[in-house]
Amino acid sequence: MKRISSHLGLFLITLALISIGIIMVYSASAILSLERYNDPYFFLKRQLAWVLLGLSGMLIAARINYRALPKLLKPALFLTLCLLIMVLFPQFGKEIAGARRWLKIGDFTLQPSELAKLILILYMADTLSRKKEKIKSFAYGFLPPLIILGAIFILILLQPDLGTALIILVVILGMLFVSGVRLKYLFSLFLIALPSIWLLINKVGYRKRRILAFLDPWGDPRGYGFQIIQSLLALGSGGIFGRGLGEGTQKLFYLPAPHTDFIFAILGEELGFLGGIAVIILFGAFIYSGARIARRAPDLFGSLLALGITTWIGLQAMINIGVATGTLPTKGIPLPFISFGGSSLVFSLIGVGILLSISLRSHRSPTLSILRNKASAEDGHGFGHLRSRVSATGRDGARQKR
Amino acid sequence: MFERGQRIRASLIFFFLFIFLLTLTIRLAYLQIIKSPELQEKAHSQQKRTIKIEPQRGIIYDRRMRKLAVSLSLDSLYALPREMENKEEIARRLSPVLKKTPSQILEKLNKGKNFVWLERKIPKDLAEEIKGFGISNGIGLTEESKRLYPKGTLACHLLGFAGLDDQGLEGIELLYNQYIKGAPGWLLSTRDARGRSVLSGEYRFYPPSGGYDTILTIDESIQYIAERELEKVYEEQGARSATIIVMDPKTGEILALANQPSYNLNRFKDYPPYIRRNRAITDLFEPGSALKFVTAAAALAEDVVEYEERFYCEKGALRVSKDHVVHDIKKYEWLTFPEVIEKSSNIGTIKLGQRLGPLKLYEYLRSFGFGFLTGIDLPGEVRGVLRKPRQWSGLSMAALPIGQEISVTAIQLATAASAIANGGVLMRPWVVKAIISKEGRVVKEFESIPMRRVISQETAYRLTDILKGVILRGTGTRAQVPGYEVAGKTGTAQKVDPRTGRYSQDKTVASFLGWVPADDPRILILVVVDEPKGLPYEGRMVHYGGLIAAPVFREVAQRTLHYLNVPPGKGSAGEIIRVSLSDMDPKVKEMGIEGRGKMPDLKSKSMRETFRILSNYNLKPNFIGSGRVIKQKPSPGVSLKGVKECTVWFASR
Repeated sequence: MKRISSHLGLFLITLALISIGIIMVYSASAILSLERYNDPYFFLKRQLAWVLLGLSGMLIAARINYRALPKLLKPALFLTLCLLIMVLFPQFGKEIAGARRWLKIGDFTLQPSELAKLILILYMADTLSRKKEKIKSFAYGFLPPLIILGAIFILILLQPDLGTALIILVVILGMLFVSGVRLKYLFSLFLIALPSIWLLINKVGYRKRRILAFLDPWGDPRGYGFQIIQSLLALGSGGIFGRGLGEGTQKLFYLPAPHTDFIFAILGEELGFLGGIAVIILFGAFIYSGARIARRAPDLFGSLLALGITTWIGLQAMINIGVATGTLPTKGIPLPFISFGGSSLVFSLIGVGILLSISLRSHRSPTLSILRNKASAEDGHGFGHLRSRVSATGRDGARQKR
Repeated sequence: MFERGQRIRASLIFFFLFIFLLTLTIRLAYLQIIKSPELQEKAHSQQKRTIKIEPQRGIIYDRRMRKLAVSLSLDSLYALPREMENKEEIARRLSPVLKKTPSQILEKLNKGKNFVWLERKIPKDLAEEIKGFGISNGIGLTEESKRLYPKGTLACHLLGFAGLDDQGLEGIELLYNQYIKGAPGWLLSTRDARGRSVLSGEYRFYPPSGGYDTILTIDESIQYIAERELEKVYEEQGARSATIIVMDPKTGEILALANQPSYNLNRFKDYPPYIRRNRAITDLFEPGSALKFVTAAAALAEDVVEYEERFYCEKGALRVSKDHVVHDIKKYEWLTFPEVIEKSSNIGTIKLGQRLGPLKLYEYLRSFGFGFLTGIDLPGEVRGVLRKPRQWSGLSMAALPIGQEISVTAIQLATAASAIANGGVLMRPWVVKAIISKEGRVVKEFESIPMRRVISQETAYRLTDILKGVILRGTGTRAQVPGYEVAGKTGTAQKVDPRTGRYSQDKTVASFLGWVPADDPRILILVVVDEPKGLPYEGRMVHYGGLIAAPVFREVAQRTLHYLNVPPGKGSAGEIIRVSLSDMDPKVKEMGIEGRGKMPDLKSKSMRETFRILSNYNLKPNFIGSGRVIKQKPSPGVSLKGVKECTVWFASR
């Protein structure tokens, strides 16, 4: 059997996840939207619009040579910082449940932190791949990206959105780690971050209670344990085969945010363990494809970029599922491709587009010619067996070092 | 393109991501496979707002359809605290109606439960007042039934009672709870977290299936008579307790059953359990002389005694071991077998028992049902104590024939006596005749269950004759009912003093069992009085069953026979008519002589009469059925030459 090329695989996985998302958003939101907007298709229609927008963004990103992206980086970074600052102001930022995470743009809302994730990953990949040797020194290599990271991290924390901030932190730390930043820097960064995270959790009452509720949800079943309990009840009710699509009852106002943060619980209730495991396998396959793309990327920038995007989406998916299954404390984080939410979906899909772009430039495949930019021919990487590619990469690396 | 070190580190990152994924998979499998049933249950109880619609408990009727237990439906106020918007406000408004302080109500509401009862079974007017509030979110009224016993204490130990949750707790209410209670109805609706019905959700209504009505074998009037007389003796005698059982010996139906002390069913909570205990089936006692009928029956059945045989009664004292002497009340010398029973001679009865031997005695005691449950349909029956012969002591053969070293329940004793009264068949005693639905459909009908033949009909009749003598001239003369022939046996059992381990002189169980009319019994009555204070008799206080329990029998029997319209007949109390095989009815004898060669007309004769008539002929009778003769073979007047057998069919009217 012919090996499915990375980008085709990734494309299909993404399509599968989006499709599941559309169905689940409808199933989870129909009653809610009927009640709230007198239109059961309210969220479905918007999700479909976002999917179309996101897919377009993905195709465009795939067609653009990812190596051209750093050119846009400085204005994009500036824009991101502006948006992150703007969102903190009540004139622009829309407050939902005590947090200002959304910018009002006409009828739509934009979540700058979703943009920030992508831009920061791009920035890090660019900086780290250009600095190469310098990264090992603190002042030139480590400090500048740290300042950018710190600024964005703090701005997101101010919203407040600890979950997103932590995901950004972990993804960036991962990229720093892989690119070869000295472990003692990472370790000291971790040591600095640890007490501040502890403070962030302990100082803010709801976070502490969330953690406590996570540890013992039944101890506070009406309060902070409520979401966790409802999520667990939904999953448990699903059993192995699920109650059937649309048959879930936990979405009937028991489970808060059934179409967004807790969509996995509804999926587990309606499609059962089999549905849940299918989603987990799809994300596993996504990570696998991303890893392959990162390894096969023609340059370090591509590799780091692919690594960053893959860890971002993979980690976010796992944290979301972890929250829904009560494995992690409650964090308002959407499930990539599946949860309702424009910004998350669009930027995730653009991220996938970038992954595809990297993949296309390292690996030709006739099956998805529409995704391929004519310019990709110049990349000069033909088909090859993985082993030879690995050794070639090794040689390249060795050569570059010298 | 990674360098070697970067590649390894990247692999490490992805490796960690996969470990994370694997963890989630395991967690998901744990939740959705292993924990699924438990979580499903929790989700279910949260989602299904089930409004329970209580069925009304069925009515308990006596055998003449008089109501002994009924149900009223009353409203109960419940609250769903989670759905309440303003608990304080609701508590404040309910406070005057429920006669509770707002803080008491709030306390209930803040227990963190989904559902709380605010007040159960509210009187109608208060319920109306609450309805007038325009019931707000989170509180509601639901109908619950309240059990009411219109006759108060009547048949309390039989009926038992149902608690606040309409659950039968004792007696018939407990044993037949599944029929009486009925199945609750449910209004199931899938609700969202805000407590509203979801349009697309399920909505099902299961109406309650009403509790079935129960018809007892008990007759309210007889029960009343029995209770009144029992209470009288209980109070006059300052007894520890007293029990009376009135049953139909032919069918085993209990017509009345009562214990003292008794209690008011409507206030059952106010009484301690020892008062609520149905002593007739749960309490054991040594029957003493009352059990002598079993020894006599066994002796007759086993043919170890001649009817007119005389027993030397040792002038009232029989040394059975070095330090154990059995006494009689009087110093008898020679007594005939019937006289031994009539005068209740311990010594004579022990001698009778010795002729039987331990195994036969034991066999008959077992056969009469001692040591076994009678199977009466009341909860809590005990089996009593009848030890196996190998566990007997050297004195047992001087004790068991006279009803010592054996513990029985009143129902066992009455049932065993019924077997003599009805002609030898041990019946299962029962109290529930039928269970019917509200529409009158018979759900379950009970029939009398003959357990086994204990003695032959002939033996039963012969023993009955002896037991008539007990009433006519023996210890039971105070049980005579004017106009009716009574058969019975008195019992005066000394109780074992727990301190000394010996039989006490002043603590006794005085009992009487008897049936009337003796030859065609309609009722059998057992009266047991535990620790009567005694009556003066011949200058001293005695506790004889014949003195204390027999008059109760007489009163109850007399009134009951009147109530049942049993025509008087066969020997008024003063007149001595002895009917037995050896002492033949002259009329019958005459008939026999006249028509020795021809088959007599047996039409509409009772079984007993038939038996008597046929005993004059050299015929082996086959009896089929019971009641009165409807058919016979050979036909009346047919020559009996060469005929060795005859068959007689009986049927009840």
